[in-house]
Amino acid sequence: MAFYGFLSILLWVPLIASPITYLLSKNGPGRAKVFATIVSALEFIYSLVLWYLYVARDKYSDLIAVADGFVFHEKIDWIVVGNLKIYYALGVDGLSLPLVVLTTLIFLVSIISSYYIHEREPLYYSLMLLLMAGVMGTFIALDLFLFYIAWEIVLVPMFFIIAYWGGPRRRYSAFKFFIYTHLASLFMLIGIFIVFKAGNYTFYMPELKTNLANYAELSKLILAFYLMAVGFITKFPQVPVHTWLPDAHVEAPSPGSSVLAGLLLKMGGYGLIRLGVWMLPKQVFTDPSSNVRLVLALLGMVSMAYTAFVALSQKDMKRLIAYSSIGHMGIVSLGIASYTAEGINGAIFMMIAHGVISPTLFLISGVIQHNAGTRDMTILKGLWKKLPITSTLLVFSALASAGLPSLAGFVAEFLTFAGLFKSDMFGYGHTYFWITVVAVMSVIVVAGYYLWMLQRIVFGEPEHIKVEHKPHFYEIFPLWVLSFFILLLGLLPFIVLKITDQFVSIIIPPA
Amino acid sequence: MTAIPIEYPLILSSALFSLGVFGVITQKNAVRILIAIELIINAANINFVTFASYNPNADISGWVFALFIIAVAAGEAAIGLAIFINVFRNFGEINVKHLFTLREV
Amino acid sequence: MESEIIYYALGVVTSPFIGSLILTIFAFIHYAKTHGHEETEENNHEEHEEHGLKYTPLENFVSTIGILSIFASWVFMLLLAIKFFTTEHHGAFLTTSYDFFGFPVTQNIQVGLLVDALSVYMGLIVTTLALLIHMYAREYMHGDKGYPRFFATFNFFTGIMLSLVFSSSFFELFIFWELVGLSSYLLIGFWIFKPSAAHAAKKAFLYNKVGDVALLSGFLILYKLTGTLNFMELPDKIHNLTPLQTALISVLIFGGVIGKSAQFPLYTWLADAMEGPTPVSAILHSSTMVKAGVYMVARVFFLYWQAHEGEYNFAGDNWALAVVAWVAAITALLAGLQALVENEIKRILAYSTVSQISYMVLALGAGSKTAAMYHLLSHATFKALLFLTAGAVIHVVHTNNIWEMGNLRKKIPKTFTAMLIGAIGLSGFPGISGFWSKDAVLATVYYSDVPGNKILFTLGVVTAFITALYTTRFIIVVFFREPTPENIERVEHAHDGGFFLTIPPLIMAALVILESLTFIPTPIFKFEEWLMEWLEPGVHAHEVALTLPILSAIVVLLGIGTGIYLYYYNYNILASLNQNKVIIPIREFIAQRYYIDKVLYWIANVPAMIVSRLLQDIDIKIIDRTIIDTWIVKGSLGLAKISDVFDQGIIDGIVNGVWMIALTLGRAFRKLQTGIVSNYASIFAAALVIFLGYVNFLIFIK
Repeated sequence: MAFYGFLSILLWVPLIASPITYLLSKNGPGRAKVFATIVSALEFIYSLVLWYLYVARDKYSDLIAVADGFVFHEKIDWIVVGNLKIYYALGVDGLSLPLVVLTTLIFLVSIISSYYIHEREPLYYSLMLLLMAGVMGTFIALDLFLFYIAWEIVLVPMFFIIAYWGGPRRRYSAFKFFIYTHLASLFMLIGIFIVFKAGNYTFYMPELKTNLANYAELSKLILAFYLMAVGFITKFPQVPVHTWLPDAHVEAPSPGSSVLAGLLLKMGGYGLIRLGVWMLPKQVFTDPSSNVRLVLALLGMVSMAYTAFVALSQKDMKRLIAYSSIGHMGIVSLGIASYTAEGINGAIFMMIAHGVISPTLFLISGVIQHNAGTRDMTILKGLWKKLPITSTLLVFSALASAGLPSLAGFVAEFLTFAGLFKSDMFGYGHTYFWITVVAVMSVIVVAGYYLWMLQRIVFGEPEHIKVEHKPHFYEIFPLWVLSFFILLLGLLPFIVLKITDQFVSIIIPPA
Repeated sequence: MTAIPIEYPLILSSALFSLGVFGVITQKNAVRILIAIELIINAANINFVTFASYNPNADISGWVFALFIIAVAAGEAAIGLAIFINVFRNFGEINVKHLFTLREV
Repeated sequence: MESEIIYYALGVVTSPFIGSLILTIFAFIHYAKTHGHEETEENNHEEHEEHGLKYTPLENFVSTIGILSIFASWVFMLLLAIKFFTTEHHGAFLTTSYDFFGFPVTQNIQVGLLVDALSVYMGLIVTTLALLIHMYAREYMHGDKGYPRFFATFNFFTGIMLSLVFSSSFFELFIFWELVGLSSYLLIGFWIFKPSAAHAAKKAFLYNKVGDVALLSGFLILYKLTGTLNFMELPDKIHNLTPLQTALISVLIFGGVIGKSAQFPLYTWLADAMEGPTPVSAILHSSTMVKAGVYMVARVFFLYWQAHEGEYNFAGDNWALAVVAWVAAITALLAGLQALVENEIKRILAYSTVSQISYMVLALGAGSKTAAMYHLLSHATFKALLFLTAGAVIHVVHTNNIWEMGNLRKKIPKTFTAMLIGAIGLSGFPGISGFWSKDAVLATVYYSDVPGNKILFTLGVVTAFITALYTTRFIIVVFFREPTPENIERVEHAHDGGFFLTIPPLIMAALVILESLTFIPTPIFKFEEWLMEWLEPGVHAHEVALTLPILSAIVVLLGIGTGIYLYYYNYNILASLNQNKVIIPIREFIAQRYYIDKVLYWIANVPAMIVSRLLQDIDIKIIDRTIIDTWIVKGSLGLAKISDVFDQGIIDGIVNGVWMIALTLGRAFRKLQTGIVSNYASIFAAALVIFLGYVNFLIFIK
């Protein structure tokens, strides 16, 4: 007897816990964080259990429902209007499972590291849990309607987290964030409707995938891809629709930044792979008349090179990390554009790797701000003497982000570049080669700005900064957890790649 | 007995009515207006009585109306006077040209 | 048999890592306890001299763990070497490689341990030197507050370097290739509070990164073309490549060597890397890490030479080797000249290292793996020795500048003896280790068919002369020349260091002598031929004419003689030379590193910063302010205004119209409400009249 509720639990627990958190702590403000921490910790443990069950699904085949290529499959009618059926359908596969675990992990560490927040505490944790439900829903929804709802819900709590608990220009940034992503998701909605029409009037993704494979008008699907890609690429984001990201990151509280960088960006990448690469027929990417891959590759290359240079002239540490995030998402674009098993696996792995590295960097910048009083790299100097462990972790995660081998970022970069070099981009032979060359070269600049950042922050004699006390346990502990995962993913990448390849081998069957 | 032609009382009542209306329109003193109203009422009474007596069916309802009107007019006069006394107390005069507090500004 | 070798190799690689892990955890606990406040000053020499050599318990614990783990590695290495070289099997052993990424498409990207003659040979050098230098560091770093951190990183480096040596695939090699770069970064910047150290560390990492990217591109193209990266499989798969492809890949891979092994034009980082503690310079920046490039080219030498019927030959138009040889020859000369004008002892040795590594690369370019590895062995030993003794000298006189030293031979006799032996080795004095290996390199170049091999040979000989000259120069200035008056006091108090500061250099000196004895070709045993038999089975050394070693010996003796004459007997000539108008600008040109740094700064750093500012402006001014704020936001506001006008003018207009009419009428009728009874009465009367008139009119019509 299969159990149909594995993922509903994952989705509904934070959703229900969100108002409870708020109500519980009306009288006792300290309760909110305890409750939110417990909920997110349980979610994390539960997601690990799901990981185990996923891997061992053959052993528990009587317990776990597998349908349409998705594990923990759930599907019930939700809204029925005439012939139109909208399902409440959930499921995970090799693409979404690592992201689900990443979601619970990042929320756990972000919630723990938000303990410094004392202003409107109940509301904050309540919004965090709502955000968690939204992100989770995006990753596990199998119905486009549900997907879109979850996608849009995410905007609301994030908007308030930036606008209430942010820095001095928080209102501007919050609005910019909201308008950018909301506007872009309207394009996505149009794209979804085109797909909906082309795929024989259904929102259920596996069914759409089957129906679209028989659809004759390729140009329409390419148009749909571009429209949807506007939404995803803005969320990613890629140059030239990226300017909301540095502002949002700089102004958001550091746990907010860590969720933003760790998960919200990944929603864009997930969408691009799920709704683009997976759902649309192969011809959209491989047909000679389609230049989808070239556009993606160009976007990725420009994003990598452009942001690498822009990051060089940043003074604010968070801004620098934000720009580096855009560059890393450029690698995701390039990996998808390569359309090889290595490339797409690399792209997915990049999302996971960046999902643990960039929150570490953002949380460290938060620790530095709270303890040294500033994030300005021209003032920070000689941090090693004041905060040795934080500095060590900063060096560690900055180098991880710069793609140091044996750490998570390298695996993704290596696979993507291997895919790029290996890829046959018919018709664009030379262009494609040079795109690859520029992308690979920009890694030097990435290393350059990170090293320069370290030189300015960690090295030297401290002059202007004062540190009164050690960082709190709740500030350092999440960094250790994330650093552990950075190292684990770098040394044993197959624990994730074995899962993601189950997804990729459907798209690109091994020869 | 030679019957008085019906025109005569009707002319009388018309004249009284016209006088009354004239009084109501032109007079500024509220008491005079009250008196003019009494004239109009009386003109109506005369009409009722006239038509009652000239009715070939000897119906008395006209008389009854006249009596009712007299009674009501008495009450009305009493209330009107009471209002005017109050108006006088509040405004210090009863010149209706100056009493326009109910007007839209 | 085979399994034993593999277990030994595992032991070699893992023991330094175990040491490093223990020390890292220890260091973290230490810093968490002390909150970093302890680490305030550079190693405090004064204190150490006053209190004698008293290691704190912390230092004892840390250095013991560090040295023991390296010692374990060394023992394993010895066992491995004995086992390996006594077998008849000349092939390679491979551990079970494991598939790093774990999915089918990338199954050819593997990691494992490859044990063959080359890696055993290199591993022996690395472990032996690492052991001696670790022992040296125990005393050298005494008193430094970063003691645990130093040993943790140092052990980490040793482990990484050994893993690099035993790498079984390009992928694995690249991982450790970058990680030795990381350890180099951490160790150069070890004295974190020194801005120059931070700068040098960054420079080293970045210069290496440039090379690494070339290397990465090179072997990824190889991966695309052959589908594998394993060293064991590649030789069979590269036959299908066109000469152009092979050349391109080879040159790109050589890009990595230019970065890591400090070749022209990216060699200046090595001189700056001397900001690190001396043990670091001794092992990373002279004897092992910078030789990784040489090692890697030797490892994939089949790419540079395509195997052909068991003999190495030029593969058609494969010009990659010519590039390698020419870059190396130019670097050797440039760096040698720079060593001649440099005043800081460690920098002299650094430039000398660059120059000597170029010899090895030159040998590779000329087509001999054996000559390169031969020179690598002799150079690694005497250069590590020179660095250790230079460190000891600096340790006792507290200065880096050779002109501030002088006449030290009586003050520090043990160090002097050791350094002199090292210097003789470096100069290529006939009969000593450097002479034999250098001679092998020069002979290879002379008999090779690289385009312009005679010019390359001449450059090599000139460099040999310069090497002898600068070696003599710093030995004489440091040990024989009378110190200048202001430095007498400094030199007076110098005395030999403690046990660990003197014994490892002396052991190394003994090793140099041992090598020299081994290298002497006798009819019974010729080291070069033995090495060639292992490294390049089936290849036979070219018969070397006797004139070559004689020429080499004459040149070296000439160099030493010139040095003694210029710097010891006739100092006036040097002084007048230094005043010479022709010499001064040349000297300045060399001292400014041929402006390589400036040129690189102007072609890389400056444009990068300009582009950076420009793009930053694009981001803020064009995208944010113009496109977003002006076009999109103002545009939407404009659109909003238009819709507003439509909304208010037309749609609202209709609604408002109704409202306006009602209002106007209301206003008009309101006038009637005068509140004056007479007016109402008049209206009433008028209405009555009209009504009655109307009724009468109707009646009248009827």
